Amino acid sequence: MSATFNTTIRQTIPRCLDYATISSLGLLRALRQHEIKIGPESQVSNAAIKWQKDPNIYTAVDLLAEALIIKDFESEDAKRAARYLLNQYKTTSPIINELATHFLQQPLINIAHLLDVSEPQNRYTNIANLKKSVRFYHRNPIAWCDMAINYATLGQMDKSRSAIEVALNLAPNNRFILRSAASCFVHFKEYDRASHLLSHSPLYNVDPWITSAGIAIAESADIPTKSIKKAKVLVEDDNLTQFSRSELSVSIGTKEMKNGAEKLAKTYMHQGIIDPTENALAQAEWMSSQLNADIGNFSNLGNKVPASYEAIARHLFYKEDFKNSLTSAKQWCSYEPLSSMPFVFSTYITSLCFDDEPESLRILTSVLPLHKTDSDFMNNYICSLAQTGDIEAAIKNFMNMDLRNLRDHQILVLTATQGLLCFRTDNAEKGRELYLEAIRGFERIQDPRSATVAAYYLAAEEKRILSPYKDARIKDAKSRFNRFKVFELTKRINKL
Amino acid sequence: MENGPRAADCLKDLKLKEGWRVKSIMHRHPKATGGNFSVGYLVVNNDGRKAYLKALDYSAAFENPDPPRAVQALTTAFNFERDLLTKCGDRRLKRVVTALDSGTVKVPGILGIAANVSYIIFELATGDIRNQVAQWQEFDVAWALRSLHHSAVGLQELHNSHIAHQDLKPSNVLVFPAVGSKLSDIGRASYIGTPSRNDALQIAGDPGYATPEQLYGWQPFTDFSSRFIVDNYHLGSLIFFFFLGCSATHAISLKLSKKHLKEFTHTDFIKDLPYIQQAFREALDELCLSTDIKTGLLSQEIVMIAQQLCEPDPRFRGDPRVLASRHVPRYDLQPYISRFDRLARTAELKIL
Repeated sequence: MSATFNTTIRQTIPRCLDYATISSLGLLRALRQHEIKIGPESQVSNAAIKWQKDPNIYTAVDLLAEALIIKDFESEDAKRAARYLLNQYKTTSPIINELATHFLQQPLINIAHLLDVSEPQNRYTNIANLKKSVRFYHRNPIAWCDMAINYATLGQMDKSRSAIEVALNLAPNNRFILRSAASCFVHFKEYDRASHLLSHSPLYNVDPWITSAGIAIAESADIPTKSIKKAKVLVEDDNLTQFSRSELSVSIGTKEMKNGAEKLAKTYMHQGIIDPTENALAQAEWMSSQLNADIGNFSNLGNKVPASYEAIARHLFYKEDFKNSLTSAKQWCSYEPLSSMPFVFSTYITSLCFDDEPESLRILTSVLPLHKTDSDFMNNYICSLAQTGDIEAAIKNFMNMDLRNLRDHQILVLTATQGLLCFRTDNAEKGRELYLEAIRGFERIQDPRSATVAAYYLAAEEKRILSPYKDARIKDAKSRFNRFKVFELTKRINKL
Repeated sequence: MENGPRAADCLKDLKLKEGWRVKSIMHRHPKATGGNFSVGYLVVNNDGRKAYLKALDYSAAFENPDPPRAVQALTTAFNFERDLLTKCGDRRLKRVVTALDSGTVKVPGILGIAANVSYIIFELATGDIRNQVAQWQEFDVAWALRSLHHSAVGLQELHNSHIAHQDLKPSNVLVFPAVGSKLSDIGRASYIGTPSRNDALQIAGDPGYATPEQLYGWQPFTDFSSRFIVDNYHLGSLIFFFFLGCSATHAISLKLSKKHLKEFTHTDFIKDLPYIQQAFREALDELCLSTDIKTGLLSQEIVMIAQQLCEPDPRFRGDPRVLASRHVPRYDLQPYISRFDRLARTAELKIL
């Protein structure tokens, strides 16, 4: 086989991202629109009168901070105080300049701090800073959580698990901590624990972010989903912002799609993209490809929603714009290094669409320690090794793979990959047999696209060794290609 | 009455009891003394001693739609403050501004009950700590630490007298020549055993200086100690003022607002606590940078004190040894008094 990318499965599992990124993306915003304006109950303050009577740095700071606390960003007095403070920047502290600047600015979504995953040094620096932080102030669950994510990104699972346990003990009922912990457990392949954590939280069926994550994780691990009816009530609660309901909408839509209720699935999908998160948009894009439904204004949404790398990569892929799709996929890799999916998707494009195996190898090697236990990731890695001529390493990695608990699709992909390795070790007969077994298997599970890719690679191997079966295999591959429209193979099929 | 002069504005040149004479008006305090108006005067007594007079302005109460209630509220608040000041004076609190005298004077030329002006005379300060800091060409570490020491002593004195100040902020720490800093303005205070309208308020003091739990209306303990713990936060907040120029609440609110794209809501304290703690951590980082430059080797201990006193979770606010102790109240400030004193002495001896 070649690189693989299973397009038949996707769930809105929360991204495993640090606090700075999550907050920058607005995922911690208020659940209800009316909450945004609620300020604390207090005595009538005289900060504005004091400022008007005696404008100085202190009265300006008092007025500005009070306006910030009660979220009165329209106060003309406070705006004047902010401008006054900015004019006095030489005599004030940096935090006061920050206060004045923040008050006057529109909030900006800034995800420029996302790090290049190929540079683990950045992660080590982060961990060192976080360790220093918790040594001084150990009661900060967010620091522990960020530390867990950084450790996981370095493949140090035990340390990551310990840190996330501390975070959970400190703040068992916080949205950020719960979602991060659940996505960490998913990364550790502890789906049961992730699902239990969310479904037993008091926030389940109260906070749509928690409910959405709970449904997605349970669905991905075939765990029975708890109280979907309550989730549907939540998604129809118009007091909640559309943004906060977007992931829950598409999660329910995905479940409906799986149950065969396509019309209902489309309704939830469309509701999910009124004001979507990038994860909801990516899920909707995936759903639209499965349901043959169109997301009308994808270009607008893709530009509007920050960090929608996955959605754009998938959208451009289906539009057969492989070059730009790969660019977005690489950004997706930097954005979500703890998921194997962006790496598998990127190398699927580099291998199938561009026949650029060295590039595939480079992409995969950068995060190899993180995803050594991921079947699809390792399959693509082994194929790239074999295609670049390093058969010995490919076989060694194949032998080291854990083949337990694999889905049918994954077993068939690996069967085909074993076929490739047999061909490359001059055992064409066994290779042919394995490839054919995989093709028949794909047909059995009704995945004709994967069967076509396997048929193509079998034909390519037959052609490479100038086997007597090559013409028949080429004919079969071309016939499947025409029938099932495996557009990513177009260039390669034409070269056969 | 609405168009005529206010009695509280007409005290200039009046003679008061105990030989005090009103010299000049200093300023009008809008909504001071528990939400009421007052006017400040400079007064001098027979032996030339200067003092500050706070005159209560009743006229605002008569402009209220319900004058009897307004007058009652105003007089209750005034009497409460006067009684507390008397109590502080009786207990000879050294680090709290106490009343030198109090009484009522009739302003000539104004008829009826509105002619009576109640007043309290206080020691005259050179200003508050904000005025002091504004004059510095170079940051005076020793002075700042000594002022913090005095404030901690003042707060401990109040707590030992069963009074929670509840509105400790830079403008309420007054500076006296030779004596140093003293706490003032107990108009927002609460006193064990004597109910006042401050007791019912979610935030009794200035909302810009409120503790995180006050912003949510969350109380860790049902007894009076919650109020003392609020005072301890305000004391820690003074460290932020000296080294960053803003309060701990200002710094935390800024960091929260930035992270939450100006949409941070105060809905559930326990659920939001991690965000507040993270914002506090970021504020401490800023404080650390500033204290490193200004205090050198003392920085670590100063930041540690700020961290303990301003801990966003009130259940863990304070010195860990005090919190662990069964025999010392959790709001006890004695460890900080000793630490501020030692730090101030170190700075005074310039052995940074």
